[in-house]
Amino acid sequence: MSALQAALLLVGLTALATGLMIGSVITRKLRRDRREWISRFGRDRVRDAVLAGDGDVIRQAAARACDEGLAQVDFAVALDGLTADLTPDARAALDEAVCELGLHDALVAQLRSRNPVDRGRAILLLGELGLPEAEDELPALLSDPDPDVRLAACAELSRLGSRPAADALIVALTAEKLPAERIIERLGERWAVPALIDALSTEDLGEPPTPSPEAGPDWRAHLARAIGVAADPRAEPLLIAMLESPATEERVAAARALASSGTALCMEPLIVALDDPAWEVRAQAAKSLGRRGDERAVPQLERSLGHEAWWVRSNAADALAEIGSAGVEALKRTLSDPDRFARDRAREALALHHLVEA
Amino acid sequence: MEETIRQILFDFNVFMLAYFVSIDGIYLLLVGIGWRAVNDYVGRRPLRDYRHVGRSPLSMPVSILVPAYNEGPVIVSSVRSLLSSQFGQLEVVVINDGSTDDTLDALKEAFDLVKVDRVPRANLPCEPITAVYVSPENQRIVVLDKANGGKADSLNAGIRFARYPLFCAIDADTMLDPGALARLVWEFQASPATVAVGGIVRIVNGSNVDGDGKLVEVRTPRQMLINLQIMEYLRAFLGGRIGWSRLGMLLIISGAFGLFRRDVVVEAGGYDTTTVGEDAELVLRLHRHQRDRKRPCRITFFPDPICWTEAPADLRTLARQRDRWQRGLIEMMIRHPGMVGRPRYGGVGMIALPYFILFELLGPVIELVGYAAYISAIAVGAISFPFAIAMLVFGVLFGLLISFSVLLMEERAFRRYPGWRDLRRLVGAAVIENLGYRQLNTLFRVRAFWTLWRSAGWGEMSRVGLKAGDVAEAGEVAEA
Repeated sequence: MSALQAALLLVGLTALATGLMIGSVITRKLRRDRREWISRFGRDRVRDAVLAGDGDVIRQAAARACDEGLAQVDFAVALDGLTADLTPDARAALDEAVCELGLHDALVAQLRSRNPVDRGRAILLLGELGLPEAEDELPALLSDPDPDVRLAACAELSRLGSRPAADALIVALTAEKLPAERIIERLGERWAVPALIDALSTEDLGEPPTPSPEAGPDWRAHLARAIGVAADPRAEPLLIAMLESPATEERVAAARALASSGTALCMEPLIVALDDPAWEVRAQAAKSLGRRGDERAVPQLERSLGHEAWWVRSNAADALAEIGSAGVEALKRTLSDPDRFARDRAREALALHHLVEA
Repeated sequence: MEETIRQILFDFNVFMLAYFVSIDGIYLLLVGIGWRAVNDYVGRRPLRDYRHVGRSPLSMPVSILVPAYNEGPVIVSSVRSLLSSQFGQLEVVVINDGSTDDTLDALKEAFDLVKVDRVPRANLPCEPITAVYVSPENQRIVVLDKANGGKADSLNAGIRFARYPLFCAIDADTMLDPGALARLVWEFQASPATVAVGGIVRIVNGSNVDGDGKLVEVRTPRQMLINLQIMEYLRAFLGGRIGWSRLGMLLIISGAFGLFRRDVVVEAGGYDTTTVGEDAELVLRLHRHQRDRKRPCRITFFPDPICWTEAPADLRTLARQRDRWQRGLIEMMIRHPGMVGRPRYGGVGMIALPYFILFELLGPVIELVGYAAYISAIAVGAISFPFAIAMLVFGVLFGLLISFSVLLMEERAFRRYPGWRDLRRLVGAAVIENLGYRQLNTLFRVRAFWTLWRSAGWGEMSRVGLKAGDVAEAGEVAEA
């Protein structure tokens, strides 16, 4: 074969590959257009059917979900945020259709798939359907080797909003199976607070019902943070007691949580915390007192304006501005304080809150 | 003698053919690797609750750093646009780099800024910072006023005063997709070894943008020059970068849009203020820094979070941009020669850097010489005319194969240009770019060697100031 013939052969092959590629682009575009239309139309139809308890349409969607991954995603999206508000009849129709076709069994089996995307889709749909199997099966997936699967399991457990789900998430939190923040943000809901309180009340690790024997040193602080995110006062006594903890991290977490989960009862302990040996606790206590907006804290916060740590001064100044007129008066008094650092922070806080000209 | 010249020209053309086949072959391989990554991502996308990441008070917070030099006309809308991002945990730090226009005044007026006392949280070298301002209305807005020192210097100043563990460096004239930050933050939250994540930069020219700087409708423009660049960007990001990222050898994160771990960047010394390619140089240094300390180092590219930027609409601006990118690439290589071919630096040292030197750094020069040799060979009869045409057609078709593969990837996963008209225009651009545009780019990039030689000498200091409208992403399309 001559060089020219070889070159022409190469050109021919490349032209063929290029032609096939552009054909694939056009085919893909047509298929995606069609698929998007089907998804959009199908999701709306299934959503309406679930709300109306129309078993036939639900059965069709469930049958497709048994066979096809994309149909599982469509079904899950159609159900998003729906199952909690269903009437008993609609719920019964959904459960009946799903059980009749064996979708729940198929999904549970899919949780053991080697493909993480398949496992993830099964988690998604089990969670959205709110099936009892989810409570039993999803906790194990919190230790899955794939991070997307772990996070999906975490999200769907919190969607279930049940006590067993909360317990499973607390075990995962204390065992550090996932980054703590990812679980705290899911546990930071009112439904999880009783479980959090029980876990915090546990003295020794390994006791039922929760903390894992593998728990890291900050697990109590993590639980306190979750209570703070939930903004639920039921845990206030526990949080107040935690302000006395020997662990700085726990005292900081308790002071932070009391800003949102505390009542008038927590004012005194927070004011005491302004004299905590650790500056991190003092700074957090100042911030929380500002959030509480109670004038009783003004004298101690005014004193904290001259604190050696910048964060304590800064948070105390902001807190005084947030508290209102008594706090603003304290800030104005500080403008003539001999301590330059205290003066500067007071001036800045007043300016930032539009209380005086900068 | 004549026969010898003919033989040399013939041999050189064979070498050039092999060179082009190698570069396009490697690119096709990267597209193949990228294709697998994109397929994986498409499957995982429904599992990821990005909306929750945007809403959660416990998501990793982000400081967005916006260096601004004479950006008076756009800076206020740019800040407003950033604040409207669907990500709650953020602050916007604008660094006024000694602007001579009304940049600072515009910010003061729009956000009612108040001068405050702030303590820097990191020690990085930068020009003196004369004042720190905060908006009382929205304390997520921080403005630093400093002496002019260039983009890298401004970013260092921003890092010093950034409050949060992650920072996002973007250009003042770029727009973020509302969900872009949440997608990038996800990468850090899912994998603690992540040091930096780059997002995709797309071209906004031709699309509809409302008064608040929000993108309303994505469209390709009529101007062929812009469509040629859109195609180039697609190839660079979807073709090259996903593939390199999948291999763990990503060398470039766009200066227009990247998210970094602040502590690691500070530890590595921040941005290098002596190069025009500070973005690429930082990424390479982070690889080096982490590997020298035997730490895990995940530097990755994520193709879904999008930043929109305006592309040069005329050849003069395009030439300046490409010249700058190529200079950035050259300077990056000059600063880290010790990484090349060193097993200690893994794939980055053994594969990615040699590839960049051979095909991206020297590529334009080799390509230009190749064009001259090709024409000369035809002129002196060293290669037959039909063979020459076959070579040319082969080269063009191979390039088209890569471009269409990337379009297929775009259709499979992202569909940001949804209309048939957009597809038609992009296919047209992929064909037309071979007829002059590619060659012109080669010239611009070759000129960068001369510019660098003339301006600073090899490896010496060359400080640059920010220029309005100069989109700075070193090496952005160097790999296209």
